Amino acid sequence: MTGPTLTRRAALAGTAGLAALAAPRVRAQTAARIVIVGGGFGGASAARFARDAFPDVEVTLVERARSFTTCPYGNLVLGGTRRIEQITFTYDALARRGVRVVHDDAVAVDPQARGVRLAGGTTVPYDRLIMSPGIDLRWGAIEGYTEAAAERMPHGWVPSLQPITVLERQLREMPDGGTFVMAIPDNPFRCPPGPYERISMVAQYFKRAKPRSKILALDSKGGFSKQPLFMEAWAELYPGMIEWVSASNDGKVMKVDPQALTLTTEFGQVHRAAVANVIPPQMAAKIARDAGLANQSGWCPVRARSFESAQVPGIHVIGDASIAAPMPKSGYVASTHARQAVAAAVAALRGQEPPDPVYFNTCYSHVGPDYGISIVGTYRADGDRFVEVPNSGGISPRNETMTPERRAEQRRLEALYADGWYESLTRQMFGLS
Amino acid sequence: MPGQGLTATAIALLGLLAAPAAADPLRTALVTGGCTGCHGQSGEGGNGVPAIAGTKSRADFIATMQAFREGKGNPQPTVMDRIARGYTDEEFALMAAHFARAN
Ligand SMILES: Cc1cc2nc3c(=O)[nH]c(=O)nc-3n(C[C@H](O)[C@H](O)[C@H](O)COP(=O)(O)OP(=O)(O)OC[C@H]3O[C@@H](n4cnc5c(N)ncnc54)[C@H](O)[C@@H]3O)c2cc1C
Repeated sequence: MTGPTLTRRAALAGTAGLAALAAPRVRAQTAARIVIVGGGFGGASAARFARDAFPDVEVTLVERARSFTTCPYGNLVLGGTRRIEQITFTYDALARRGVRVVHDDAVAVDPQARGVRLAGGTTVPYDRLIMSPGIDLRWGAIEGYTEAAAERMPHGWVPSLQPITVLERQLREMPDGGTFVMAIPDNPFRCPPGPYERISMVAQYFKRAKPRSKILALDSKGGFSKQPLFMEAWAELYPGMIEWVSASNDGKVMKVDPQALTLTTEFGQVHRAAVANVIPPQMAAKIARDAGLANQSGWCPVRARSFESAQVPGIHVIGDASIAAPMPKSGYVASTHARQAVAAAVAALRGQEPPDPVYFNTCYSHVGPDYGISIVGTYRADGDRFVEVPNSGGISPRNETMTPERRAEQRRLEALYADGWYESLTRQMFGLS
Repeated sequence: MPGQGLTATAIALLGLLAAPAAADPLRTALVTGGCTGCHGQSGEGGNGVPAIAGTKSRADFIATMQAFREGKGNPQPTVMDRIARGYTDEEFALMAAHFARAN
């Protein structure tokens, strides 16, 4: 899992030496301390970047778990083309690169004294704090959907709360001919195309192993990310298998009964599932809410150039917990939040303005074997708002715009690039390359 | 290929030495952060994604990005046309100074 230490040392020495030339010392006496809470896509990326770009800064990463299983590619575990071990990482390589990794639960933040209190009793002092704690699920927002209910009706949306293998096992044990029912939340939520990639990967598995089974997707929205591309692909690859129900067609799930395995929609229709996957409404993770970083929406407002909290100075909130629309809540974009927040945090410690940001995202989705699609977006700051660069980005080309040969090649390449993206980003954030 | 084993930032900083005087290594690192997410920490590519480090001269690197952005040249880009439309010429120059061959 790790690169050769000699190379890494050489790299570090090179970085440190050059950076010392290029940048004034952050502090004459003691090193400035950047503390990062949460070692997921935002936090691990922040730690890596801070360590590389600012050798003079002390970088501490507080993460409660000793390993991290990614949400991305979890849907491929359901599809049967990845195993959970292949999408699970440790923090060892980051630690070897000089990040101080503390495995503990952050339980409170004192923004006046500038410290993070850990469950173990110690307090980690900081000069700037970066929070990337991800999301919590709103238990009870769907009537009957409690933590206990999630055992019978898995969410599979937050790997630290529930490994994807819980849902995987239920799908494997499901008799052929059953219906897999999904409840999909309204915006904003983690990974806008994620539920539809999941539909696709479950369909891929059913087509191979349980061809008489059906998928019923009950959605609280009127439309979704990359919708025309998903719909075209489903019709082509999985004809007759998938039914997607929009909110206006009574797709919004209001209530579940985990014992009976039923889901009840807004206008009272009751759907019985062989396997039910309930993705409930979400909010910023507890530590962010407890620290006073969230507004009444449950998410954390931030400044567009620095990701500094609009509510608590000295703390940057990145990743899914932040309000950064029109950017989606994605892992890739969280890694670009991370670098900007680190740069802005160090700039603030030096009494400087944050650099000009450019935020970038590509979300690939697998819809079948050799069949990938994507949505691309580049974003900048306009005053205190995030804006998408006009006429940039967008979704993969529609079928009708391509010859059949080109179409097959486009979809094949995007599936390949998705794998390349996953490999590259995870290696980078966990310090493996 | 430059940068085998070097970090992105180290390369950004090396790039600085060869780049026009105004290039800010931090800005380069922030701008190229979008590239490395898929093309690898040092632009080395892999897993089906093309290498971008050391593969072109600076002028060709910039011309390639402009062609993606303007929809010229490569008749059938896969994702790079959509990506290039988000960036400016100044940013293409920073990327080129970072990834391209020195000559
Ligand atoms: C099915 C699915 C598929 C997805 N596919 C993609 C994809 O293809 N591409 C993509 O870009 N994104 C994808 N995403 C989205 C991506 O997973 C998230 O956007 C990303 O994880 C957000 O990063 P984060 O840092 O905000 O949170 P996380 O990655 O969730 O990290 C949060 C970390 O903080 C830790 N933590 C929380 N509270 C504390 C505390 N109090 N003390 C200590 N540690 C704490 C947690 O243990 C966790 O490790 C997908 C998501 C899902 C659900």
